[in-house]
Amino acid sequence: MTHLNEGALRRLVDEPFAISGSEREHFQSCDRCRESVHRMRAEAAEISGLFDVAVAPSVDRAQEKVRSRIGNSSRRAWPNPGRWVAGGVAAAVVLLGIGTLTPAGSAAQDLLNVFQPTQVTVVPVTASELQSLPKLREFGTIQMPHPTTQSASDAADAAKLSGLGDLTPVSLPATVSGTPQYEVVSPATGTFTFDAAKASQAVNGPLPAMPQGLDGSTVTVQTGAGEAAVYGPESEGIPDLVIGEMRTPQITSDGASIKTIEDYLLNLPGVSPQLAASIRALGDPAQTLPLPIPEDHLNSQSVSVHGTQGTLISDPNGLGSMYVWEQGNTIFAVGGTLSSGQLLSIANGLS
Amino acid sequence: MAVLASDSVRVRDRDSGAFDELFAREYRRVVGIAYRVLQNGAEAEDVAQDVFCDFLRRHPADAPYAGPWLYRATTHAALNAVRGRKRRQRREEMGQPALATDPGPEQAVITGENRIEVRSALARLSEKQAAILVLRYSGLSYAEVAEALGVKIGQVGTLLRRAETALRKELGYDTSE
Repeated sequence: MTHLNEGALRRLVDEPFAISGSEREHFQSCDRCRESVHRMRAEAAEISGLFDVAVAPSVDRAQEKVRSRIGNSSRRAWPNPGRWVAGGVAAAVVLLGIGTLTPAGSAAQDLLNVFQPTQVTVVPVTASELQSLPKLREFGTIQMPHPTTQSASDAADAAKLSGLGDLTPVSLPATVSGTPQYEVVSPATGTFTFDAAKASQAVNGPLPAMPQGLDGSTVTVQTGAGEAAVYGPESEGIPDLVIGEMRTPQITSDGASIKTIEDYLLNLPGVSPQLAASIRALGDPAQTLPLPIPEDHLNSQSVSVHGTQGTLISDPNGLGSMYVWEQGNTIFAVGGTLSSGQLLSIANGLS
Repeated sequence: MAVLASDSVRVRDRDSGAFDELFAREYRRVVGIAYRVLQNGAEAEDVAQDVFCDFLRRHPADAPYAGPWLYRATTHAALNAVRGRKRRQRREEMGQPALATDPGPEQAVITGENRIEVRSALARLSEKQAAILVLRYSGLSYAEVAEALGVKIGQVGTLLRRAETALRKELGYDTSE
């Protein structure tokens, strides 16, 4: 029999019963293998001395601290941009938040349908507008599974898993820690099927007639793969820096046209004339991805980023900000607690 | 938003027995892993608590993969902390005591420069090499190390041996065979 390999010999030092009978037989009769294990054992003991410490932390005290922090974080006013991006941030704002729950959002999605928008434009919404919107689920049936997320070991792994690009920035400010955490979100498909009978029961007051062909039409939303690199202490609030990208969502309808759906939804009771006008004012849906922003809580402005038109979203209290833009059927986001100038520099430097 | 709804679910977990059980079972071990990287009790506890918070915000406390997840994330976070030096600098500036944990009699072996050397040497190794050293010398079995790092159990011995050789080289020990 040949000599045991290095890995098997090393394991013998720690787990002496983890080899087969034939390997054991060889080992016991082989001076070379036994000498190797002897040397490895001595070196392991030396290293063990370097790492050997007695640790006796207070579990109860730590438990209380963590309880408190989890409770506090759930009351954050500013959603964590790391999870925004990891969960499909920019697109998710449209698709999973307002988008899948409200007619106005659905109209926004429908404007994207079959087209590939090439820029991001903010649609300001107020809290009262959101509250007055009728629920999309009252007009049909929604099936929208949550996309799954997984960790990646590094930028290359994240790019491989997502099929997207390398998120490594050209340079980082000295205040940002070195190695980020990488997360990848899988593509997901959701559907909404219009149901005229359900709509007539759910809504009080006059309802616009459902156009011919809309009843039974299914709108399919496909969210694309995404990836994010998160730098800094995410658990303490907003990360220092988050860089993310996600394939532009695609939306298709198997029945009524996009224009028909848009007209119907924007005329529903509860959709404010201002919001309807904002969405209609987007113009050519082939060019624009609407990004609904709660204007009561966040500031937003149109900016030039990475050579194209994008949006800077910022917390009015200075807690953090985020650049969002779209290029080549991919939505990009760079955000965190760094200054907007530093974030812009990082965004512009992405390959 | 889905994000906030998710947080609420995690918050409910803290009140369950699973939260207490997770802490009782894993906290000391997780602090031990962080300590072996950072060589500092207070920093190790900071990192361990960060990791627990991250885990509990994203996963149920009774998730069967809790242990491997915590071990891997702790190693990663502790190595990041060493490389970034942010926590250490902040603590030194604030003049806080370095150790919140009982260093024990063995601590006499690892003091001052030794601690800094080990910490620095780990930071110069590859992430995987540093991780396998820390996890194995924190008492994880080969099967646990394999699960935490996502490698086959048959690879652990080889990876560990190479990591040990790399660490000894970084520390200036004799590595001739």
